[in-house]
Amino acid sequence: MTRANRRRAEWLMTAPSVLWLSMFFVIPTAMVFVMAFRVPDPYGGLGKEWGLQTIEALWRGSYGPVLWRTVWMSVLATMACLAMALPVAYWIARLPKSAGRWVLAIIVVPFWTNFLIRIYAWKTVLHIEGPLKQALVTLGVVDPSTSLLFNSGAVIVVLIYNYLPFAILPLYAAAERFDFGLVEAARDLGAGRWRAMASVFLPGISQGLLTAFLVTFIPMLGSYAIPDIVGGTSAEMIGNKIAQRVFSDRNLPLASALAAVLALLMLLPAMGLLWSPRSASRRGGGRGA
Amino acid sequence: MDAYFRLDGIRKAFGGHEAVKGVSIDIRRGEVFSLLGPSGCGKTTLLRIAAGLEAPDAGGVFLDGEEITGLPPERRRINTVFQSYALFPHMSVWDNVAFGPRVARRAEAALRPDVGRMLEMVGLAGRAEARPRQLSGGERQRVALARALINRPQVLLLDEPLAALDRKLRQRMLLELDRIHDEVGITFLYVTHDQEEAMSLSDRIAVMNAGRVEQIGTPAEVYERPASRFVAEFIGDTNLMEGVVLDGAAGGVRRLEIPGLGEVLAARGRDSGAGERVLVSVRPEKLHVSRGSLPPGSGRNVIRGRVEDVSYRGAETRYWVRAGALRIAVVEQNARLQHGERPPTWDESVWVGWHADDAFVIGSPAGGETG
Ligand SMILES: Nc1ncnc2c1ncn2[C@@H]1O[C@H](COP(=O)(O)OP(=O)(O)OP(=O)(O)O)[C@@H](O)[C@H]1O
Ligand SMILES: [Mg+2]
Repeated sequence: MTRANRRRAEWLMTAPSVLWLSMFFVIPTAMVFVMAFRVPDPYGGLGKEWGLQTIEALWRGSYGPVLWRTVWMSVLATMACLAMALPVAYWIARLPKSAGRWVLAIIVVPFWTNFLIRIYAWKTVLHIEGPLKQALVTLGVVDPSTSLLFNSGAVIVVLIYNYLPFAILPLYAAAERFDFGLVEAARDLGAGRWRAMASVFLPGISQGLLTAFLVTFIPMLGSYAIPDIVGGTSAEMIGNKIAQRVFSDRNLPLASALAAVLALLMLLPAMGLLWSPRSASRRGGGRGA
Repeated sequence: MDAYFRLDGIRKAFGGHEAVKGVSIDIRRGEVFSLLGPSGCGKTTLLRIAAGLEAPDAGGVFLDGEEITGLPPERRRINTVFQSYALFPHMSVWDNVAFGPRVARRAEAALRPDVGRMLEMVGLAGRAEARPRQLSGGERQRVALARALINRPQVLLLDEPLAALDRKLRQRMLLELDRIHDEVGITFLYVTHDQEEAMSLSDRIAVMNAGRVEQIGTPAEVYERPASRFVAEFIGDTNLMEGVVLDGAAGGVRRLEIPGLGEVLAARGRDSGAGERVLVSVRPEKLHVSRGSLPPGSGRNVIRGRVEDVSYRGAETRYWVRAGALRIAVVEQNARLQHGERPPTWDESVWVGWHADDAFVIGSPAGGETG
């Protein structure tokens, strides 16, 4: 095949995904960005005119603290998810194939129950008169007057609970393909258990780590139901603000503007991560000097 | 004091299947010692136990007078060249080789000349920045070797390091390994199922079969004086003849009756009493085939047969001669043919002769191979 032919074949093969991406991702995202520059009409729709009112409202609304809380809670919960998912994925990958499949099923099956029901269940668990609180009070860990609900701690716990399987699955997929002979080779060369993990296993599953990060962090940034149910006003996230603009204020342009800010927040880490390891391997992959 | 690296009564089973059934080996300092045996006989398992990657069910591992059976791999001064090389794919050749020294917390500046020298030694100085997947099989093998040797292990374990290479490259790498061994003087424990490899590289060989050691000896010993039927058949080709001892003077020439061939003399091998059933092994290259009658002489065996097959192989010609119930293999160097002599051909009636000194008595035909 000539170079030009190969180019064309490549184009033909990528065309469907480019089309799909533009139809369902690029165009809607662009529309969200564009809507931020429309004015709201009094009936909750979009006005005819263009204007910068919403951008101003964005500024005046002091969304800074909410945004900041959204980011740090998501980062914390994502890190906790990865930290927990990593040993689990490692363990499942080392199990015999059939046993591993059972464990995966056990992890995934609870998630067939409706999302909202599972979150309400947490509300019961964390409730002031709930079992967890009672147990902690009996053990003397918490004061009877403290509340486990309606604070950022509750939101983070439920975020971790909800996204843990999404972190486990890609990590397991990567660990399962990983050649554990490399860990043995590292130990044979003098690396202790942890050193071998860090220098051989983690780089070996880096793609899985990246995927796990993206599929937990990005949806967490956009969470709305979880902070709404267990967070209360003191632990609101940007998702709640967007929902309020849509449902209570009926201000679509402002909701769009907030969504655009959120989209930018998501795009930045995604872009950064997608590009950095690739370019790093390209840099190091050159033919011998 | 002879043993530098010692495996003592090693046993290992995997879920009821015994992979290693009591193996004891003493390896001397600086020696190239080979484990030779067919696929699945437990070579890799034994090597992994030596490296500390697997714990034996019974037995001990001793290095330089100290027991190391319970030590984890990173605490043993033993390094391995793995069967699949196990190079780290995300690291350059340089980083692969520098891995051991870095883990040992040696300063970058101090390890740099070492890594350079190692790459030099294995002829890869120009490929330091390449990734393992950009290398050929032979180059990968050499990176694996350099990566292990840079740690100056007390023992280097090599698990079929040449198995993935083609024949020509294998022969070149064998010479290279030999050279490197002379250069570094490290004790090598070499695993292979290729007898030529083992013979040309090793000071001593342990021939393994089904989780046991059948014989330990120099390449010449295991070839010339196989301890069992298995060894005789696994190392090179051989003719095995089953017979009954007529009289067995200890250490001297024994007379045997071989059904279909008549009386045969055998001067070497196991002592055996009259009436005992034994096997006699004669290597094909020790036999001669001739159209004219061979001079009987003292200690010579001469029998008559018919050529069933001839295969010309350039340097040599291989004959299969039917004599009674036996099919005897004979290898003649083609250089021998001179004075206008014509080699025997298919279906010709010939004489086959060999000397009693080349006939080796090994145990009884039944069960002799497992000792
Ligand atoms: N981890 C394991 N689990 C179960 N069985 C194993 C394991 N490792 C080895 N075995 C079995 O033990 C026996 C010996 O295996 P081993 O790998 O030591 O053979 P080998 O002599 O190295 O063979 P090859 O020349 O094919 O590499 C085989 O029957 C193998 O199936
Ligand atoms: Mg093996």
